[in-house]
Amino acid sequence: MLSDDDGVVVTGIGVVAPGATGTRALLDLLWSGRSAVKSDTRLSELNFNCRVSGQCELSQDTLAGALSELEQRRLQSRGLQFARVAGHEALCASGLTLELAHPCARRSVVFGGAVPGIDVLRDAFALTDAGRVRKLGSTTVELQMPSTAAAHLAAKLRAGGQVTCNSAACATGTEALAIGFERIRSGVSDVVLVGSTEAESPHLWAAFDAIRVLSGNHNATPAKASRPLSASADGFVPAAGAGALVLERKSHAHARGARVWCEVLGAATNCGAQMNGGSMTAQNPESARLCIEAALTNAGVSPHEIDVVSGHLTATNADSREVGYWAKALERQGSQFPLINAPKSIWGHALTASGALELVACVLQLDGGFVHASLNCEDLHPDVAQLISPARVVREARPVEQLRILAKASFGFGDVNACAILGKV
Amino acid sequence: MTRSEITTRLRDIITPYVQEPSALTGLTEASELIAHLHINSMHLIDIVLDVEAAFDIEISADEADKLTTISAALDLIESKTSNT
Repeated sequence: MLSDDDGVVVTGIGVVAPGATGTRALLDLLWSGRSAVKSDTRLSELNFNCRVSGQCELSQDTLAGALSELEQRRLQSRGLQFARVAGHEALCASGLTLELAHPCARRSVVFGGAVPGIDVLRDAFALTDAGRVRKLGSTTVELQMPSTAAAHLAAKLRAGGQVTCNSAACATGTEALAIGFERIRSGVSDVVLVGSTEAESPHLWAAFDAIRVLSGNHNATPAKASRPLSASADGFVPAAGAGALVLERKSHAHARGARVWCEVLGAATNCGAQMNGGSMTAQNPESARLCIEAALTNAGVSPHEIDVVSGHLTATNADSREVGYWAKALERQGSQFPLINAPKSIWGHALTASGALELVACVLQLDGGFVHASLNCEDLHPDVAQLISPARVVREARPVEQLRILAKASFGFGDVNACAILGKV
Repeated sequence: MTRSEITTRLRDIITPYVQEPSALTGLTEASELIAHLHINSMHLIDIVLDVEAAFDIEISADEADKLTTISAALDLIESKTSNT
């Protein structure tokens, strides 16, 4: 057993999500039952099969609050802007002292993602192809480095410990939390800013459209396009954004009287090695189940204690398989299954940012004692209905008394898995 | 363009790159971009590009290396703009 002081808590959250910039707006969106998916004319013009997406909005005021004038000019990458805005909100909300004379070795940053400048690097490529390398300027380096967001946020946090970027496809955000959690639990850090970010870019999404994993049947009705758990799901809706969470040693947070949002009880990551049914694009079912079980063991939580499952659930044919992993790992089926919802039903799939965005949504649900609706699953997939009672799928946002423990998982290409167990404080 | 007009435009260009705004108040031709104005050396690359665009001139890598002070920058811009 861990003593109280060994715990890890969340003391700050920040988010840029489609339809919600800032945690207050996200809370409203989660309660509203609205879809944040919209028509995307750029995708139409480019002949995508999928012509809807989850797009984020950053006002000039929001940008100016998180980035200097020079940075606003230099950092045109939306991925970096999202990370800076979400990180800024989380750090401000944490109440941590950000004015230090020296870097604090007990503070770290693990901020995941892929290529931050994927939406703007084509300009640099064009200059290079035209033989005008000298015209690139200094920004290109920062647009290429996956660790740029972490480096920027480390400067804000005065982090003198490990500052790095993890990258594990769609498991990235949840993996970042798992890494930060372990750093604190192992005694190396007191504070770890974790999260992940993804830009909105046809150049990123084209690859997914090409392999036919994006939705294409609901272009005329964007709000209906992201349909996790539904029999008429036909692929995921691409999205973007960033989520940031300040993880902190419980005793450290208590000593400074910090506002605590929830506790991280445990986390685990693993890989199915593309064996036994796993592949580059599908999970090895046994490994996905083992990852959930490992997170429960790590948390010291028994399967029957899970009140809510926040699924990875992308609106592909992997959804019913995923419900199967949960049912096996939790040893619960039918009406005994926990409540389950799919955050991607609201704004789509933000790829490497998805786990972090969704974890912020999980923190808000635990803190507020409610569950958000899983949209667009009126026609529950029959394979899902065979495993769990349809009543366990949250159809409308509602308060939940005795909401104590939530499980969140993210599954990624490369057959990688990450799972986190969060508890109410 | 007079040297004073060039100075005004150059000052506008470098202002966002100066990390200590107070350093700008004592700006003279002898001011060194890195030592006095605390401009990040990486951003000198961007300042050169901004100057090229603002004055419609080309600055070679060798010329850029010599731009260590305000006066050196003014001299170079003056010589390039007077040729056109």
